[in-house]
Amino acid sequence: MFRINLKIAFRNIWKNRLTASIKLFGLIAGLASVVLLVAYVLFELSYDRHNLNADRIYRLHVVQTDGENESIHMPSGMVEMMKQEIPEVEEGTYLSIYETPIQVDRNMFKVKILRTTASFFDLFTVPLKEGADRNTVLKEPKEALVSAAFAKQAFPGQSAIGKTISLNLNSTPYLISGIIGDIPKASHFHGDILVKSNLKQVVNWRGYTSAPQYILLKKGTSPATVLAKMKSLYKKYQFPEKIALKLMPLTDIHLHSHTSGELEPNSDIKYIYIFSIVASLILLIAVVNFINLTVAASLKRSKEIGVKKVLGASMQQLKVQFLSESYIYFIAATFVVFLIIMDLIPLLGNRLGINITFSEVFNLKMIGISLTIIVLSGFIAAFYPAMVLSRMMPADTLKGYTGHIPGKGGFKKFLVVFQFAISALLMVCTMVIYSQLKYISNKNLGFDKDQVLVTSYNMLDNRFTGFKEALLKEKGVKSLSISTFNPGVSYGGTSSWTNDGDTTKYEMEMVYCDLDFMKTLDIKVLKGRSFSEATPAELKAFNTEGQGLTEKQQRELEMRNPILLNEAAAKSLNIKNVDTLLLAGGLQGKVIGVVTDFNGMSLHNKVKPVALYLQPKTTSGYTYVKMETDDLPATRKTIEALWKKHFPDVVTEFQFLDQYLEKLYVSEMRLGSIFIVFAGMAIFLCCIGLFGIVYYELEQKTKEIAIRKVLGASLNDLLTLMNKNFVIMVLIANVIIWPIAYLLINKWLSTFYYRISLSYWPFVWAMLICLVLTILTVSLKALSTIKKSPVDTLKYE
Amino acid sequence: MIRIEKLEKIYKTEEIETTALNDINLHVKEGEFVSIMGPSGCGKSTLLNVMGLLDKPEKGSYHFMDTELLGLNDRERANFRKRNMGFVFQNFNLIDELTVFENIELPLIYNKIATSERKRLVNEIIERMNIVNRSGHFPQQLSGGQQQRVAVARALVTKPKLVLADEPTGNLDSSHGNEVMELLCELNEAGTTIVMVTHSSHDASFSNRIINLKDGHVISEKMNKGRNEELI
Repeated sequence: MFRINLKIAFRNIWKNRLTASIKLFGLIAGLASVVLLVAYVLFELSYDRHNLNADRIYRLHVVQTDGENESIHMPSGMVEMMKQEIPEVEEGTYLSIYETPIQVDRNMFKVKILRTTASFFDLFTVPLKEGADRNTVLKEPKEALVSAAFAKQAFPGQSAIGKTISLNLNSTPYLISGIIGDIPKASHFHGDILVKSNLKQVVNWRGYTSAPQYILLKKGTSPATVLAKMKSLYKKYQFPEKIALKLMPLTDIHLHSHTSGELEPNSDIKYIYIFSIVASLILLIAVVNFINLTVAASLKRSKEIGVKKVLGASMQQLKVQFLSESYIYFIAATFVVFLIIMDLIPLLGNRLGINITFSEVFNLKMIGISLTIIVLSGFIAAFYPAMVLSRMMPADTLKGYTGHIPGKGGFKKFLVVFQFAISALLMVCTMVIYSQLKYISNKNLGFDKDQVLVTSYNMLDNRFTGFKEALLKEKGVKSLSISTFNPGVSYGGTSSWTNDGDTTKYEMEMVYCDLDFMKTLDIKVLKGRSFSEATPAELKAFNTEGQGLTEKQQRELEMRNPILLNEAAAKSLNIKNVDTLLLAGGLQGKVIGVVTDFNGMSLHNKVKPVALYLQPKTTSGYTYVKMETDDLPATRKTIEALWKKHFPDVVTEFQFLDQYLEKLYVSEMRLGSIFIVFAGMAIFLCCIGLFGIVYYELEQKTKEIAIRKVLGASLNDLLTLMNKNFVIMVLIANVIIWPIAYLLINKWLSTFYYRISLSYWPFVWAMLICLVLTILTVSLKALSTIKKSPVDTLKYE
Repeated sequence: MIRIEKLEKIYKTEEIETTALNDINLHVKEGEFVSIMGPSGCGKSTLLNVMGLLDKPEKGSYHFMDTELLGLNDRERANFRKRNMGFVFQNFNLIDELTVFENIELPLIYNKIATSERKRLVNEIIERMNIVNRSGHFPQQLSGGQQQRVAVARALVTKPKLVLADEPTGNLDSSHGNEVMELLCELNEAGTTIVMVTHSSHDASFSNRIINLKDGHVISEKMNKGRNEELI
């Protein structure tokens, strides 16, 4: 019996090759999307779980007990203190990581240097592959461990052990003592070179370190126990008021931690939920497609069902037959999906800007979950048609191809509406996400980010003047400036204070810059004037720099210190006129002007009050070069060459400011990328499904069409007839999702302080796209039937 | 063998109810060959479907060899059908995806007959029906007459007690039609009970008894003398 059913199944598939391949193709596309998303979600969830002690490792955070602020910046001695005071804390370490270009022989490498302690290896599972001994590792100050990947790159064909590398300018080189295994991609930190850190271990709340600190708890210790014991230590170690310690589980960092000092951009659990929902929706569309096509196709087979019933097949036997037929498709699709997924994963990774390969996400868990999803969805997709078909009464089915299935197609209509609703929803979301991203990149930030190169932080010397002069002579270079402003990360300094007799807390970001900063970033002055060399007081201030002055003279000078405020700062300090003297918190000087709202941080947040300070002779900070050229790459090359000439010993990296700022929206761009791919997939699946349904609908309507033609219906009449119902269904689907899409997308947009206002256009566009694709799909398929001569059709009937 | 009493079958759609069978009483003896005749829509096919357990009536009773069949559930009906009944249809109802051999084999599979025995039985009937050289063909490669022979072979391969034929010659020309009728007569003579629905009085003349239906009622019953004498 199984054999004969299999025969029927395969012969049927062969006979209906076109629809069978549509069905299979839709299934492959749907399942591949789901498996991809499963792989991605599992990858995100796997962060830091490769560490054998992952469940016992916590990162130290400090939280404001009466606010929302959470930070990983705190005094450096916290781990040592906890190890001494709390017996449940077994070990601890900290990670100070920075990225820098280094030179090995004649080659430049951009590396991540990880400064840590020997306990690093007690917490994190990073294998020591060669050289260094576990017990003595990272004891020497000038000892370096390098990753296998870096060793292979920097010292091809030779052993890296025993070689030396220099990490900074003019300092003793480090001796490579060992090779460590590469840290997996799914880790919240990475490093190519490990060196011993010499951070001073003190709990002094006047100085914070930005190096995150980690502790390893003894087995069986709950973090609550540790926190309870910490409470009694707050006083002893002079914790500021309303500040408490929080233990962030290692495995939660990647998805749940959103502090400003993360070692690498984290993802967000919110996005994991969104992606899981998208995956489920795509799967639903694929399953619905399959059901629709199977039921539609089996109308043609009602005779077979009838005959089998007459010959004694039980409902059970028929159910098994149809179930197994559906499973043939699912097995074939699964097979293909796993074949193509190897190539699709890196593709998806590329789109998301994460460099993942198949082997990194391919594991038993991923296979297991994917297969479970496939088997379950296969069961649902196969079960409904099997139930419907096996229930038909033989006397009805034997009448042949009546075109009616139980339920009168109401369920089918529901499924079509459902599919288009999902597609429309995804399309609306995609369009809004992209409009917002476009808005962000076009938003006026109060400065001009186009054609500007910015370096990494450098401490330069008086060679800078020569460099500046040479550079300004170059064609295409407009101006050059150096300042403490690190786009998207920090302005340079912060000051917060409260005035006497006032409870308002003032906060001010401070940028220290040279004379050309305003010109280089094209910051417009709204009131007063900009910094200028012509002002004697200012000139004197920066020429003497307060040296050899009495305290009184110094004070006077400080009071003439020119300050520029952005609009937000002026408003926050309630400054209406320029030439106001300021003496509050870290602000000391005279406001000489107000500039446009200079906003160098993420647009998720409101622009901060910023004060600009003049440091005319500074040579430390981020160098900005404004270009005015039609050939950006060439000008950039010239600039880089000049840098090399003037600072042969300082390696730095020039990046375009606009691209640098884009990094602030990595997870939003990922969201956009995923949505555009899967919205496309959803609408594609809908069209495939529609094509199949129309195909069978036309077979049922061949006679009707012929009769109408005989009675004088035109091509347009017939196309309208075929399209009408589908157009109505698509319209209904769109209208249904409007409120849902509106709520969802508004919620997402509200995470941005600066956002587009939601217009009706995305909704209109989504509907138009659905309609056009529907009419195209239906009409293309319908035309061939409509064009047939009615004589042939009617004779055949 | 068959005792049908006060049978009633109503078709319902959203708007109208149509009574297809109304107070039908009918007895069929073992070994009989009964024809059911009547104009289109009189309910004759419905009656045949009910007798073949392909359709459920609303009221009445249906005894087959002293077993009441109307209370059976789907599974029991399927089981009873496959053991006791064979069907021949006007449009042959062969499965297009199966060869002649496989089509005939199908009821044996549902009756859980062992493979070797199946092979023997199918070959035997193929020979008897004179379609040996067609056993590997698919239905659409055969003429109408040949297809109906296959359908008859399929109906007979399980050696059913009752064969139900719904206009078996309706889609055939007269010479092929006659062949099929002769085949049915042979079967009947060998002891199989046959109930046949037909439009054609020529075909009906092959049977022992003719029952006339109109608007769901039995309006007359007539013994076919010639055939009965032959039988005696």
